[in-house]
Amino acid sequence: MSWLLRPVTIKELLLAYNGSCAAEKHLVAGGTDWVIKYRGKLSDDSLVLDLSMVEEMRGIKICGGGLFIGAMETMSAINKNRSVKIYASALADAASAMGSLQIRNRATLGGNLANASPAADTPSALAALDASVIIASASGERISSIEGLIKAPEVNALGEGEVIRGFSIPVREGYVSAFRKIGSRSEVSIARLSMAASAHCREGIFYDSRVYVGTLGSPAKRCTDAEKALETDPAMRLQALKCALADFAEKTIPGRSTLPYKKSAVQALGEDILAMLLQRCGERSAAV
Amino acid sequence: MKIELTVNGRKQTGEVDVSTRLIDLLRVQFGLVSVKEGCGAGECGACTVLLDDDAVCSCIVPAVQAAGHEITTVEGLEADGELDVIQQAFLDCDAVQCGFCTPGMIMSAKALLIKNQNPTRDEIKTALAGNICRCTGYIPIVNAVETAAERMRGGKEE
Repeated sequence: MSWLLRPVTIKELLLAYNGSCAAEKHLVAGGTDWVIKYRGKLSDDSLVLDLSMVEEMRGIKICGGGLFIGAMETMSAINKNRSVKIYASALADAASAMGSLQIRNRATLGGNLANASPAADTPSALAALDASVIIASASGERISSIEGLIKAPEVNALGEGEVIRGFSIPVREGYVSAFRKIGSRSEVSIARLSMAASAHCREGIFYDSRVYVGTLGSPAKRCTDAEKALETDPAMRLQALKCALADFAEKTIPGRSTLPYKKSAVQALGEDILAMLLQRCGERSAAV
Repeated sequence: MKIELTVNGRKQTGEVDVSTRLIDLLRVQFGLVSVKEGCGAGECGACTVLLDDDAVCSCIVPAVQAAGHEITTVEGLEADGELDVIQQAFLDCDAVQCGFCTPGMIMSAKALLIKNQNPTRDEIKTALAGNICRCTGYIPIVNAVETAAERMRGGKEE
């Protein structure tokens, strides 16, 4: 017989999880992927824990120098939030680019990371923003990087009895960020390639940048050469960025049939991301 | 597990298990057959309903997550024998052909117009992007939502 439980605290959740000897244990966030993957396929000895009532996994607030986003916050809630738009524009971009409105109203940030799909939209944005993952377990909490949470395509690095409670994004004044993806159509599209970047911007010059490419073998791969290119002289910047990204694609997926397309697409994304960063830099200067 | 929820303004009790989706609860237990199952994967939008005024694909919402919430389907739009302004606009604008996608389209439009009674055509297209229609070519549907919005504003262009 399968068991369906609705814990309201993380303590209750972990007690239920760790105390069960069910053959299969499932944590369900928004359900948008889980229902498709597991409905009708669970063994008779399954424990399903619905996370939607756990209050500690909700909320978007600034605390302790960081922007906390609960794992159960939906893409729609993230995209609408003012603090996210100010301090984590790349994440707001990614949240608004995912699926349809119906999906965005249910899909959660925690679920998107835990699924570890190579085509997921939010991991590259979170990684570019230097976000930390707050992971709860019976022994307390630990912090992971975004890259540290993704082990392989469709496989996360959460241990048995661990759950993502939320994310913390550093609140940094003077930084701008952006996310962009390319799919087969303009809406409701799974990414063929995505990119996110953040940088400190002063008078049109970028410092301390982070550039991540998504859907290039993994959901978030850092491109340090693109970061160096972003920080070069504005006269050379675009060309240097495109060269760095093209080289990165060649090194990351050598010999793959999609390489010629991705090599071209990643350069176009780089151009778009640079334009978005500069625009946001200008808007920020105008607002000050 | 028993859950309580409000469906089309009425308190209801449903019996759900790990496999019950919101669409199953609405169609099988409550007989609300306007909610259509198309793709069963959240891609076509035929099963769109409102969950607390937000459009959701009921084929990928675990039914248990509807507990304590308000669900609205097309059956809940008609009041006192009168069609909702969006339903009437769909009829008037010939926005229906085979009709399978229509309830989902109407519910997506409803979610948009609850929040924004003066949407641009682009905003309408974004709100309907998760609803697929194989018959109409979409233009009459977008026209219908524009017409409904105009009627909701009292027929005045702003």
